[in-house]
Amino acid sequence: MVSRFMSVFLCFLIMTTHIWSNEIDSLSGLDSHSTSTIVQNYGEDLITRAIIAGEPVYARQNTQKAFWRRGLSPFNKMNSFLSGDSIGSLLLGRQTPALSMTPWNSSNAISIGNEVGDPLYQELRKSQPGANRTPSILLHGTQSFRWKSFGDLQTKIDLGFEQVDHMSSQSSSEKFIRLGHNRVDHKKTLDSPENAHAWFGENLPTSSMMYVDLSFESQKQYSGIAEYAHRTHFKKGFLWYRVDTAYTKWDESSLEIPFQVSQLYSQGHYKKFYYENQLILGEYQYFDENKNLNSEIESELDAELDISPEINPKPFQQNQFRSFGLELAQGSEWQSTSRIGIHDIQIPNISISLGGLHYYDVNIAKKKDLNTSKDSVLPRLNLVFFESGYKTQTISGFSLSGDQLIGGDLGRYQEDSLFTQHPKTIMSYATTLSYASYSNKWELQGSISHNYTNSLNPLASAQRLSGQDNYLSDYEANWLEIELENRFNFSSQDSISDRNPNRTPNTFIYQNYLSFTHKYFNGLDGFKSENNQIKNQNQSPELSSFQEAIKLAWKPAHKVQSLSQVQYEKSWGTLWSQMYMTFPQWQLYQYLHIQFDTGLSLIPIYSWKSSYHLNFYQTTIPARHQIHLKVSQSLLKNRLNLWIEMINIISDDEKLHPEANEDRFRTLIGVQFNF
Amino acid sequence: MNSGLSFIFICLIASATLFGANLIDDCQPWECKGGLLTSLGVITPFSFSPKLVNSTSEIKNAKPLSDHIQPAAIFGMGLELNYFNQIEMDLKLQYARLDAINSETEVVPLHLVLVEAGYSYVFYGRWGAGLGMHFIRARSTLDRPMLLEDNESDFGHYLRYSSLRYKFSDVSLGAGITHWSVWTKPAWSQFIGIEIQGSYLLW
Repeated sequence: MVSRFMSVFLCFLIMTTHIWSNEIDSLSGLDSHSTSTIVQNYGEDLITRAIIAGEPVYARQNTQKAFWRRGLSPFNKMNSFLSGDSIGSLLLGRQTPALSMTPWNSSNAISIGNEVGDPLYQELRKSQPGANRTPSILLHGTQSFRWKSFGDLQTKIDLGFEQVDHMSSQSSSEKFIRLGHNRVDHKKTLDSPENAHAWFGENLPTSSMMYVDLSFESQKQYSGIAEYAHRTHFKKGFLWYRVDTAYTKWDESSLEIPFQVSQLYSQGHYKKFYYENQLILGEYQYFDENKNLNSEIESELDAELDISPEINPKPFQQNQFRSFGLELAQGSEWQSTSRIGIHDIQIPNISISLGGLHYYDVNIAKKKDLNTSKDSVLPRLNLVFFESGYKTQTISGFSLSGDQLIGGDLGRYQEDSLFTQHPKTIMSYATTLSYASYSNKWELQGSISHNYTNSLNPLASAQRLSGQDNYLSDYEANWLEIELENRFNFSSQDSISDRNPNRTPNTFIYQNYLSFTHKYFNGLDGFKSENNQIKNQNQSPELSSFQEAIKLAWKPAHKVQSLSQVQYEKSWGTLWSQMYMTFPQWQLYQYLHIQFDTGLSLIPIYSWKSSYHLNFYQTTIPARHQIHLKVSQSLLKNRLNLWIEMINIISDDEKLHPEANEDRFRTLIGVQFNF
Repeated sequence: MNSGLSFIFICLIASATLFGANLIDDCQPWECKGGLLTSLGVITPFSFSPKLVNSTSEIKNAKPLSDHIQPAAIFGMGLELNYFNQIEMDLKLQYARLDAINSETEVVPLHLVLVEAGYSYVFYGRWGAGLGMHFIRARSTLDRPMLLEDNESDFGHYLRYSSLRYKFSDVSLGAGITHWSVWTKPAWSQFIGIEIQGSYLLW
C-alpha cells in the first residue's frame, strides 16, 4: 500500500514538473520551458549567454507564456507545496543559497571578456578614436566555512557574491521591456539601470547580490527497529540586493534584506510506515537605505508582480506534514504575499488516497486582506486517478481551482506617483484535465485546461513601454490550452534501473511537444505606442498559438552528447499584431558536447531561426544563423576549470534591433575554482 | 626588426633544432610533468595579406602597422604542462612596452600584456597554437580621447614553433618564433616575435 502510494506521489511529481523536458534539456544546459531560468541564473552556460547577448528571444516567455501559464496549474502549486525546499530559495525570482535549506557547493568563478573587434591598432593608423566594444565580467562566489561547536551542533558561515556585468548592449531595450520599465528614455541617461548597476555599463538588473549567512545545524540519525533521522536548521543572515522596479529610482533601489529561517525536519520509517514532517519558519523583509521608502517599494513590487510573476517577494511561513503510512498527507501553508495589495493567505491542505487507485487533494485557502480586513476563500480540488499495469503506469487527473480576492487594491502609476484604484473583486479559475502514461521506454502526457481571470492586463508591458499610465485596468480573459507531449527512450540498457557509471548506455531519446492555446479577452483597454503607430481599440481581441517542438537527444557514450531540436510556432489572432512582437515560426538548434579523458571538453552549438517582426518598431528581423563554441579544460581533479566561450562567431556586426547595438562576436575567458 | 638581431635569433633556432632535444616527450599519459618557462625576445608588427574585415578604404590606403609600432622587447613567463602523450598544454603571460607613432607623428607609448593558452605538439621541437587575450593601454595621457588610453582588450590567436632545447640538469635553453593575429577591426593586426626560452622542470 505504501509503495503504491509512493508511486502515486512520484508519478504525480513527474506529471506536474515536466521532468521529461528537464532531462532532455539538461543535455544542453538549457531549460527551454523556463525563461525565468535565464533571469534567475547568472548565465553560466553558453547558450544562456548567447540568448542574453543575442536577440530578444527570451522576451517571448514574458509576453506569451507568462500570460497563459500564470496561475494555471494547481498541480504546480501542490508540487511546490509538498516539495520541501521550496521555501525562500526564490528571492525576487532568483535562486538564493542564503535562503535555501539545501547546501550549495562552494564555488568561485570569474569570467571576463569582450566583444571582438576593437579597432585598437587601427587608431594609430587613423589617428581617430575607434568605436569601443562592450567588455563584460562575471563574478560568482559561494564559500562555506563550517566547524563543530559542541555536541552535534555545527556552525556554518556562508559568504556569497554575484555580479554579472555588461553582457551585451545589444539587448538592452529588451531588458527594459522584460523588466517592465516604462521609462524608455532612461537607457540613454546616466541613472538608467544599465549604468547604475554595472561596473562597466549595462548590467543584468537584479544580478548583483551579496550575502552573509550564519546557520546552526544539528542532525541525528537513529537506526534500530525503526529508522529515524532528525535535522534542525537555523539560519540568520543578511542579504544585499539590487532591485529594479518600474517605479524605483535606480539609485534608490539597493535593498538590504535581513532574513531569518529555521527548519525542523524529521523523517523515519518502520516497515511500511513512513513518516515525514517538516516545519519551516522564516521571514525576510525589505527596507531601503532610506527607510521611508519601504512601503513605497513594497507597493512597487506588488505592482511588478502582475507583470513579472517570477519576481515574487513574499515573507513566508510554511508548515508541512506528511504521513504516507496512514495514506494521509496534510499540511498548511501561510504566506503573506503582496500580489495585489497585501494579503495573508492560509492554505490548509488535505490529501487522501483510497486504495492507492484514487487520490484526492483538497485545498481550501483563506485569505485576509490586510488593507480592508476582508476575508476571501480560495477553493482548490485535485482528483488524481492512478492505474498500474505490468509494464506501464497511468495517471489521469482532474483539478478545479479558483482564486478570489475581494477588495484588492489595484495600483495605478501616474506621473511618478502610485495611486490606488477602486477596489474590485478579482477572480480566476482554472480547470484542468490531465492524463499521463509511461513505462521505462516511453512516456505520454496530455492536458486540457480552461482558465478565466479578470486580474491581469496582458498588454501591461506594451503599455508601459508606450508610457501609458493606467496599465492595471479592468478586463476579462478566457483561454483554452491543450498540451500533448510524448517521449520515447531507446537505450542499450535500462538507464533508469542501472545507474552504474562505469557502463555507458547508448541512449536515444525522441521527444515531441505540441500545444495549442486560444485566449479571448473582453473589455481590454486600448493602448497606443510611443509613435502612435499601433492602436488598439479592439474590444474583443483574441490570441491563438500553435506550437510544435521535436527534440532528439543522442548519447552514444558518456563522452558524447547530442541534442537536436526543431520548433515550429504559428500565432494568429487579432491581438498579435498589437503585441510587442511576433515570434519566429521556425527554430533549429543543434548542440554537441564532446568530453575527452584529459578533461578537455568541446561544446559547439548551431542555431537558426526564421525572421520575425517587431510590431512596436515596425521592423522585421531577418532569419539568421548562429554558431557558438565553448572550450573548457578541467584540471586538478576538476577543482580548477578554465574555459573560453566564443559566442555568435559568424556575426557580421549587423544591427538587428532599432534600439540596440550591433550583433557582435563575443569572447569570454573564465576560471572557476573550488576550495 | 634589426637584421643583425634577426640573424642571431635564426641561428639560435637552427642550432637548437639541430642539436637540442625534446625534454618531456618520454612522459607517459597522465604522468604529468610541468616546467616553468621564461622567455625574452622581440615583437614587431608584421604585415602580410592581413585579413580585412569590413575594411574601409581608409585602412586599405593607410600605411602598414609596422610603420606605426616599433620593434620592442617582450618578456614572458608561463607553464608547460605535459598533457597527453606528445601534447603539452601551454599557459603564458607576456609583457611588452611598445613605442608607437600615430599617423600624425604623435608618440603613443603603450603597455601590452598578452595572456595565452594553447597546446603544443612535441615533434622536433614544439608546434604550438592557441588563443590569446591582448590587453593594451597607453602609458601616458593622450592628447585626444582614444581607446588606447583606456584599459582595452582584444582576443586573437597565435602560432608558435619552439626549437629543441639544450638541457643542463633541470634547466633547458632554446628559442622560438611566434606569429600573433589580433582580431581587431576593420582588419586583423599581425605581429611576429622571436624569443629565447628558458625552462625549469618543476615536477
